[in-house]
Amino acid sequence: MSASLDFRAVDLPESTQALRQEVRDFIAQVQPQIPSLPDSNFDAASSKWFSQQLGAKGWIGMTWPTDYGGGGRSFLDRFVVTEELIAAGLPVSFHWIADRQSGAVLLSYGSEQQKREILPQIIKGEVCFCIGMSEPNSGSDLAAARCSAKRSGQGWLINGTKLWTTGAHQADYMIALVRTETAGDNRHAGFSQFLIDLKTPGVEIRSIQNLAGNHTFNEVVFTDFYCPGESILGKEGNGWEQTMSELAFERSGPERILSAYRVLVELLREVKGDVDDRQAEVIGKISAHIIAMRRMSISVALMLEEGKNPALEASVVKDLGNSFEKTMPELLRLIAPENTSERFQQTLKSAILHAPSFTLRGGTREILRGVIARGLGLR
Amino acid sequence: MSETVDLILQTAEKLFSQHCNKELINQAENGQFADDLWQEIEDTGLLLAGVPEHYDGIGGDIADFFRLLELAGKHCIPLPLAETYIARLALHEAGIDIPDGPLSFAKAGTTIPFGRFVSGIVLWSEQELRYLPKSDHPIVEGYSYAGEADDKIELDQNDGILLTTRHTIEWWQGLGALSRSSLMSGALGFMLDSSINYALERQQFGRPIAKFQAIQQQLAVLAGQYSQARQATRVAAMNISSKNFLHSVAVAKSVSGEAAGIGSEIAHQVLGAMGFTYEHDLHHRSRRLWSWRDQWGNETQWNIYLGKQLASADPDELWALLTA
Repeated sequence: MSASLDFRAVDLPESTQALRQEVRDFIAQVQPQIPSLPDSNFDAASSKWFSQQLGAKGWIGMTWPTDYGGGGRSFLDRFVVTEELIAAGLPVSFHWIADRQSGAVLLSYGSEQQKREILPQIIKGEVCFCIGMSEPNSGSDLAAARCSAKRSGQGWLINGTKLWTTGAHQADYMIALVRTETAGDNRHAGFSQFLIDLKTPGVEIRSIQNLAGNHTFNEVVFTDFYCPGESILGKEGNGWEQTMSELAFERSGPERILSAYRVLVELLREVKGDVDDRQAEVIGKISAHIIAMRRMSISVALMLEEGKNPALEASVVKDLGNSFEKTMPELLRLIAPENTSERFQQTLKSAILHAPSFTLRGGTREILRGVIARGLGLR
Repeated sequence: MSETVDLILQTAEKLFSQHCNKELINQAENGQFADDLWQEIEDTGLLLAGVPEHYDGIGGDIADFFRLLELAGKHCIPLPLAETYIARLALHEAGIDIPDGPLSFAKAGTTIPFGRFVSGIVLWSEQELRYLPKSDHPIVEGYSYAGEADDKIELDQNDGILLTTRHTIEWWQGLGALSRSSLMSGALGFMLDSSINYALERQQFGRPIAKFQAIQQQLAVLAGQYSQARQATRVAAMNISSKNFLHSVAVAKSVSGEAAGIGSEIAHQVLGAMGFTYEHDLHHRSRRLWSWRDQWGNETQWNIYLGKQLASADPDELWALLTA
């Protein structure tokens, strides 16, 4: 029912203003040193160097406890930093997944030793994480995953394949959803989460080129791959619940709204302030949606800050956001002047070529709408 | 919003659900003014929410009243609540005595909601606000999509009294447009709930239609549209006293107007032929949504307004404007 949708109209606290300014100053200083064109798609570019710079500023792991080197700051502070980075189109993908969700998983379920060892490295921008969920026969139907772990001496032997794994080729670790018991009547039972060190010899990582000709995702094959006993995260058999709680972090951030944002910026550069009504209408429409959805995303960040479960609201923001960011380049191409700069064309091309992925990654549109329907009491 | 807003909303919800039903809304469509309901609302003091005490109001924030309007939209209150409230505020600010009874508030050159029933009209134009006490201006009776009185009144450009208020002319326009967004948000929430209830009850192929993915997916879209409209509307209400007010109103009116179209389409599809009957109460909301989205500027008009403002900015400053 409508009452289950917990969106609140709140302003970001005054205290975030100084932080925002600090981030903007940092961006102005660092941007000239980055060779690629700005791109708001969060997995468009990866730069360990850039992630290290952010780490030095204390902008990775901002919400994590100071005991582990985190910033001990609020989710609203993190929101400000992430939206500034995405809007500026900076190369954030090296640390993005670790900062957004893997760190939170480690904090909740990792051993004391894992937290002490790994969290500070994430925070410095030194290590990269990837997500081991999808498999060849398990996409939207995550519970069909077959990748398995069997006890072997003190540890585990992992067999199976993870697919569409963004960043696996550069990642140090994967947090994987793996079967530790064969599937029974309850399809969600018998899963566990594993922290897998991908730098251990024996993991086979094959690159998959996407339609834009880029290499961002991969196939990761484990064949009798040995993991030490402590690599199981949290409780054996609790993997499904742990994974679901991880998804709440994954689904509502600025990267779900702004993937094509730079096309709008570059279009403004092309029209040089001189717009007719049709162009103004499109620019206004896009901006209205960005402003409205951003306010919804802030409300979800507030729920995270309050320790609430925003699974429903995050899905609403992601579904609206992904559908809209996909429409953006379509609307903008139709109002672009006839002769545009190379810079505009490249920005538009990147958005259009990557747009098909916007409503697939992190849960397809259909899956999200199913989650929303469940939250509304329809299923 | 003020601390008393919850109390005001509880009172309004109780009064609206007790006194406004399908029959009353239909009677209003047949040309009857809902006098008793009007009197109840006046007696309860709901129209004083957010009106400063020096204007004989109960204090609080004007935003409180816009939350109340969401409930008026939800219940389809067939009265010029928004119009009366805004017109009275303008008269207070201009130091003019408030006449008894309902008032209207409209854009010059457009039709006047409830024109034939009101004791005065505040007319907005890009240059000025004017007040026209009830007089013998010829009225051509008309009706909105919802069948509510929406009349043409022949006026001379210099009729009435020029109002000097402490707010800008754009601010008054903003209140007009925001009132429509608030009403639309309330109606969309009702529509979402009644569509969900219907989908859970209606059986086809041996099960409730809510079990079909095709239905679930559509209602998920409606939920998103409602949430977005309401969020943008509440942000705009929160910004009533800010310099960004009209900017926020443009966002709210644009996305809520769009949601009105998408949302009504989905609700009518889910409710099937039943929702297309006069008997069912879905049309009370959908027909009002189709009226409200056009009043005080449709999506295109507000998008152009917003787009022109943003397009003139330095592209590298756009983000600062969007987050302001």
